[in-house]
Amino acid sequence: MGGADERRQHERGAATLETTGVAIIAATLVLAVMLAALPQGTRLAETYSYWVCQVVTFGQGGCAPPSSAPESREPTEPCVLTQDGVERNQEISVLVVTVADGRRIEIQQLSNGEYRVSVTDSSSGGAAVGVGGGLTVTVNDTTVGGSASAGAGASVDIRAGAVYHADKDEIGGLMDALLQDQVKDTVAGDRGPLRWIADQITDITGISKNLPVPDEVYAEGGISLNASAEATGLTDHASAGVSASKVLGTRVNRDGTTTVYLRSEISGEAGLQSLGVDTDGLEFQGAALEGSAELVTAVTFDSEGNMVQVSATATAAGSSSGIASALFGGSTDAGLANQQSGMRIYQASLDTDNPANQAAAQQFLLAQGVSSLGAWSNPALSAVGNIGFIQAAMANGTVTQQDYDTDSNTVFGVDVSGELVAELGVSAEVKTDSMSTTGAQYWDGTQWANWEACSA
Amino acid sequence: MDLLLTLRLAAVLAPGALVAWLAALLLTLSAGSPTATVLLRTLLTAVILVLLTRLVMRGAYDGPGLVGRAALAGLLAYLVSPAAWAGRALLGQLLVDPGPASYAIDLVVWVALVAIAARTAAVRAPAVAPAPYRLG
Repeated sequence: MGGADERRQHERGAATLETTGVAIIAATLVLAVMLAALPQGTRLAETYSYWVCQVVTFGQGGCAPPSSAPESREPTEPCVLTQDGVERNQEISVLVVTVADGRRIEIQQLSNGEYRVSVTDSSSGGAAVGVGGGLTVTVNDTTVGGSASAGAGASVDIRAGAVYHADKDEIGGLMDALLQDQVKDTVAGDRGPLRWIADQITDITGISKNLPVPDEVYAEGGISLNASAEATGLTDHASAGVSASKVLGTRVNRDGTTTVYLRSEISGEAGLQSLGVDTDGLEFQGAALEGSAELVTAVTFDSEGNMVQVSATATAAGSSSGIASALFGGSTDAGLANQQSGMRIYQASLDTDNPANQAAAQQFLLAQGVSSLGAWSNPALSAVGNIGFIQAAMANGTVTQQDYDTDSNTVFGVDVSGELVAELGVSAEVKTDSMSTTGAQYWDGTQWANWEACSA
Repeated sequence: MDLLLTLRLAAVLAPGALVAWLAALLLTLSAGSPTATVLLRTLLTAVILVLLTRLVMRGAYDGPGLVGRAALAGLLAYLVSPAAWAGRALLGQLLVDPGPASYAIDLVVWVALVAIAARTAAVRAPAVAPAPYRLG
């Protein structure tokens, strides 16, 4: 009997321990829900999450720190509004974040103070992809950059993605929502019943920060205007020195227009001549004329399917410097061929609002083997003479060149890069890279002129 | 341990694991660290599996096949757990991409936890007839 009593007492103790353990976990869950429901719940929940994350990962988990109280963030020092007649924050910076699941977040600060956040599914599978991904920098709703690549000839790596615009007050919330979405994707997947449960529970408890509807969306190459791969007519009959185009992707823009991105490669003197560049008398310094450059052509259509604009972008860096510079009438800067951290992005844009511009754009596309895009058919059946698209853009459109530094302690707006990363709540579990403009020029009709608004 | 107890254990473990999964998500969502969420989810789920198994096993009589039946209950619970379907139940997805491989890893760990908990639980002594009624 004594033994049975002892065992019973032992069992009673064990039961108490187990019951207590279950009760502690239940209480932890209830506490988390209650914290979310309190008026100060968000900050408390963030603090609670931060410390749980720190404990669980032994301080190595890249946990996003809680946001401090709004009152304490009000600056006490006077701020500079203008400086030498040029507004501050006019620097265009790009921060590229590669998250653990291979998704890439590109944060661009625009000269109007707005942030442009592009989220792409990268095929690189989480590898450090650096700067790239078809960056299109928009200034005051005018596209001025584009298709920046850290390495010469690096292909633009787009699968699918969305673009969000946010001001300084909204960017933190947007980044939180993106990171929460990543956490949910990791633990519940991006769809299915488990994800539904996760979304519902986090919505009910008020912890979840939902992603807004994207301002722009784009899809991977091969998907054309009406989402039918067959509708994109690309022939193999590109001009000499120009590779046949491949569709990089499409983007539905905020203003209802749709842009199709094409990629082709311009090789050597023949490629330049095919695109209307007079190569006689060109002096190439540092980069050989035998090189090649990747050309990204963006064709924009309005909601009725009419072509409204064609733009071409090339990056001058490394061996592509000579060809890209010659194509866009830029200076063949020997330094660009050798430096690892710098690059120059050329872009020419032409509105197709008159027959002459339309003809130049059609010939330019034909030279790249583009016979149709979606419902649009290229009326140009054969290449005639010099195409002169860049020349037409110089005369009637916009041609720009922007220099970027990709290997510096980038000043992101007025914040040091590292601080900004912390401010945005980007965890250390992501890899970042950044670039910022160091100078910009535009063609004023007769010569290159300093482009103050987009110069650092 | 009879069939009823096996079913009872499975019926307790499945929702218990789901609650642990949800708790880990809610507790770490704001921190924005997928790794932390997966680690906490694994920790909480493991604790829940062990504690609930030991709680339920208090009502079982010791005997041959006890651990095997507990493992069977663990298997049943795993099969009906939504998180397990996606290979996102425990820490498997930290080692391999979520899918069949992580499903298998999580299954092994899950069943092992339940079996160990059952083996070490304070179960009742084997049910034997009182001395006057024993044969022989």
